Amino acid sequence: MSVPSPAFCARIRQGLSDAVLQEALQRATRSFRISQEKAFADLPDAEVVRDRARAICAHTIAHLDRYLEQFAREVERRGGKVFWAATAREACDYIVGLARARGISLVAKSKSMVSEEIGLNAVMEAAGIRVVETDLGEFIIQLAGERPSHIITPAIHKRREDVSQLFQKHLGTPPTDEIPALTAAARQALRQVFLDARMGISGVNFGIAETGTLVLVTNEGNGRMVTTLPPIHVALMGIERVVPTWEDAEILLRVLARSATGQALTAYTSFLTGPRRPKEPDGPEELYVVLVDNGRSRWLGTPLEEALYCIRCGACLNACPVYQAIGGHAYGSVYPGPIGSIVTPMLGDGAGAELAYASSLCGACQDVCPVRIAIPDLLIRWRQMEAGRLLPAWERAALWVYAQIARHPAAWTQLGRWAMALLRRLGRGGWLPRGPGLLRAWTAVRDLPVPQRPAFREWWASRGGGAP
Amino acid sequence: MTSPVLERVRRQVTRRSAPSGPIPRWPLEAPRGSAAVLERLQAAWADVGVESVRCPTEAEAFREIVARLRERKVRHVLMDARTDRAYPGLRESLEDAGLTVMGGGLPREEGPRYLGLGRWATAEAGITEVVAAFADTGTLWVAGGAGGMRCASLLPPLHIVLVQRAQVYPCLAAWLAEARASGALVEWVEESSALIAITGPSRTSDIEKTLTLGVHGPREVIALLIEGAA
Repeated sequence: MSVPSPAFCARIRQGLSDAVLQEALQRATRSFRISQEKAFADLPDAEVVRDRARAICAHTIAHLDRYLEQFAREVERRGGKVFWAATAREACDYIVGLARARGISLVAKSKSMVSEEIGLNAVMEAAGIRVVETDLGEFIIQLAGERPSHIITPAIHKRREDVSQLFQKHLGTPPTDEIPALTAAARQALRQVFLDARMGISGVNFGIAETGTLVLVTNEGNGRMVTTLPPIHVALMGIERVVPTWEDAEILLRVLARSATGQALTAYTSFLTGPRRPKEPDGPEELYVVLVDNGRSRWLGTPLEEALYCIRCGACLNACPVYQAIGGHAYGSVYPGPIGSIVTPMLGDGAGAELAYASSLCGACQDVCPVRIAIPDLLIRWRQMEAGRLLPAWERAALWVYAQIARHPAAWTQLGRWAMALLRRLGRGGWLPRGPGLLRAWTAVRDLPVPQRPAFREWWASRGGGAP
Repeated sequence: MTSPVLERVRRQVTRRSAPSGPIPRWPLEAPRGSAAVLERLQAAWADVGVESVRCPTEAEAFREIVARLRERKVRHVLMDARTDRAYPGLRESLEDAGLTVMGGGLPREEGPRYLGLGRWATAEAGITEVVAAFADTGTLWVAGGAGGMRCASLLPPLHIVLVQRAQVYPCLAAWLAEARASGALVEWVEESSALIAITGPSRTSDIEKTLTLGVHGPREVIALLIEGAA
């Protein structure tokens, strides 16, 4: 198997040659970076807050059993039910079972990356249950029969004309390129879904262990709708989403929206604890929290557990030059971008390790990460782990030889001299337009400057320097 | 409590202790209800698109509400029992102005519950009080609990909210510190299934990153800041 695989290369080429996508990505990621920087500039002690946020994640993951157990106990103490799903299949089957037992045929859903990860919609639809995505971006994607291309702005690759055509076809909306009119059409269609649905499914941004409280952030209010109007609320939560206390959640909220959308806080941040209480006039009658493992626990205690600190803000996508060039779909995974390349092979059946090569390791992702995940290091770790499996035999052999030479300074110096001499012989007028052997692939797209004399080592020695 | 998932987590965790580092400052440090927090609150409201009106008294705020509702030709208002209790006289002011005030609670049985929701969904405005407001972000902190309705700040296209000067905290962290110390946090969690931080009207930028208001929740949020006797 070669890296990257032909299928991956094809997706990358498709992304690069899609002019509409390129324009949308440029526009979106640029405006995003500006607002994000401003939001952090306005936050006092921003760097201390980020350190603190990281410390909270590190502490929680190191003691995850304790906080998960406390969280589950508190959810149940306040009338919610907890289901532990070891696999994607278990989570889907449980939710389908809940809906079937009550004869539910329509479900309103707010954005949940975990639901994408476990493929919930397909399983529900196969069971004859209609699931309607209610986040505007997700709704558009669902009508188009696609998958999100960005964690925060799923329809980042769609223009207003595309949306208008989708709405004409599926909602009977008259043609328009007015964004407010399109939004109003979606409001009308989805309002009825909120009222009619007998089950609401949401994701969870943080679960507060001390009280069993679910924290959900949304801007549109659809997250509030699906957790308030239907009589049953099902919350899907990755097991790494738990935090010990309200104060910890507050710290993470200081960085989440700033990193995700450049807002100090999203329009709605819900703190939901249990189902409707006796004296409350509204709220769901039943609450189910589905805790999804799906491979996460196998990475606890390994260097990759750091990837579980991720709060899914999407900042690393916007910062990544590779993501900006190829777009989310090219990754072919639910979680795109730098963090997605690390997380994807950690989940489910472990497919997608080749994504670790879709990075220039420039480090822009680590700079913007609000919890300072060492994303480039983790990508390199995946490359190391997978090198034996993914690289062709000749490349592995070549790397072995290289490693031997690099470990012996005398051999390195001598071979370096020979290589430089060879390049100088092959060069024409200071440039090498066509390299020998494997070097040809490189010189096919650019010329290589021929090494100049004196070489650094010669120059250094002429100045009386010791071994450089 | 046990499950195979929890068992595996238990086997794998490192239980490493790590230094948690210094505690960052609050996003805003200023006394509750001070002139500084009020000023910051109004600036933050303007930033997030909340229209604000400073009213010297409750009576003045009620008159303002009626005027705003009339301007918008609102006829049905959703208002919960908590707001009713906190602002005696408000319901009368609304009813005297010819408005229909909807409230109460949803039945628990599915059919009647559905019908009740359908009725609430016809309201053109919702009125609520707050637990607190946070000046740094312009956030309205609203709650469920006894008589606390989630729908009043969610279903109608217009949300009118009443805030007392003493309810204005510099930030969520400040409210948490106080609620933790007094035990109020635990009480809220015990009796309320929802505490919602509302920061501006419902918004989306999902189409071409263009900001559009009122996609699902209220398009318009009007805050009445009651200053009381200073």
